[in-house]
Amino acid sequence: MEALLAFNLRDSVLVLVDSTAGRSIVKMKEDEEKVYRIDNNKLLAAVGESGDRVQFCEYIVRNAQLYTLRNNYPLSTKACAHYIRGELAESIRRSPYNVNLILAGVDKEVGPSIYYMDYLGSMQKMNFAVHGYAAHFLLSLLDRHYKADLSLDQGVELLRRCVNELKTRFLIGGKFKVKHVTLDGTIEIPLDMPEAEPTPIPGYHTPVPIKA
Amino acid sequence: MARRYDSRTTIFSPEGRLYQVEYAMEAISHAGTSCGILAVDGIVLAAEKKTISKLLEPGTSSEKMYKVDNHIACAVAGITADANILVNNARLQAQRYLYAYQEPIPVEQLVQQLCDLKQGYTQYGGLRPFGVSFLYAGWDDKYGYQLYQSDPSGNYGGWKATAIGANNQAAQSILRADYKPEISLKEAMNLAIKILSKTMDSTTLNSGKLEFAYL
Repeated sequence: MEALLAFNLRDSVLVLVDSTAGRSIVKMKEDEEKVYRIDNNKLLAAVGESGDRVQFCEYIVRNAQLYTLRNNYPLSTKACAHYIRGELAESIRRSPYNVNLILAGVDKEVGPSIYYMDYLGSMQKMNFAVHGYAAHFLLSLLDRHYKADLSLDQGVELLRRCVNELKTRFLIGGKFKVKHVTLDGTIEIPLDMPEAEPTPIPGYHTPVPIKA
Repeated sequence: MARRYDSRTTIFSPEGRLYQVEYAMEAISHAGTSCGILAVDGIVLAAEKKTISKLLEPGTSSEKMYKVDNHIACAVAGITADANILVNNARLQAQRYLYAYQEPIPVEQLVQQLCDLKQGYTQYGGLRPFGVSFLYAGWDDKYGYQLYQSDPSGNYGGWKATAIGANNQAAQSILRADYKPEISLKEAMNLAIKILSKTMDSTTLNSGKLEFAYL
């Protein structure tokens, strides 16, 4: 199942998304791009039914760019999020798009923001958000380790922790892509992860003297 | 002569004019004057009422000034019934935008949408154009305080100070002389009243004859 994770740094956003495209028990490709660039400082990351994902995201991206062309300024992240939510909510009552999304954007006055949306059209603005089975593993990890005002290095370190957790405990795994959204633009960060090593538990892997 | 080319809105005359649109503007030039002035800290709209009667019930409806949204107001010159339709449409567009984006509609986008509607009536449908000109006063976080004017052709422009309706040339020439870009809201209000007092037909100016709005 697909994993999608995003969290706020001090003045940017980190997005982690898996890059596996598969059907049933077969992995078809490992470098699928599931993040769509809406404009210079907004990314739309989507997981779910692959046809729906591509169709919906391309529709949103094109409409957002039409707005920028018509008005000479882009949509704000909040306006974009509400627009996307409205489209999802309208379409679920006709022919639903089975996609779960995270919109990550940075605005000058507001700073970084993450909007978590699901296929039903519900939306929430959050500091960190996870979609898919990965949520069962990573939300608790983020609850424990996420802080406001993280730097990029701290953020990437936290991402490594998350990926390590998934590689250790999650049954279905593959490659991941990391995107960094800032006020100046979006960039992909390579996440070189060595093979997962389980963290040693004292008393289980290494003997601990029993205190009398 | 020109009579042959003015019964249908959807055709040009041989000189390349749209007579119905021009006749609509002629109708507006008989309506009560409306003027708008952009100040540093706000916008003033002032208008002269034409229908004044002791028997008129005050407060039920406005003839010249309308609130389109919390951040946009407009002043009207022309056929009031036509204006009602367009103002209703403007209010609808503003709420639609708010519903879709959870943000107030940027002023110029609202003006563009109304103007696109007005333009449609000059090109297809076989219906006459709206006999109304508008002054829009609004604020948004992109461009701050803005003043726009639109006419029956569907053209619009952004202004620092302007006037529509009867005697608007006289009003504009006074504005050209007296308007300063650093004008404050208070000074703008005084200037608006001065303009109206000079352009109104009647000699006396009292509050019953004016409608005033500021943003």
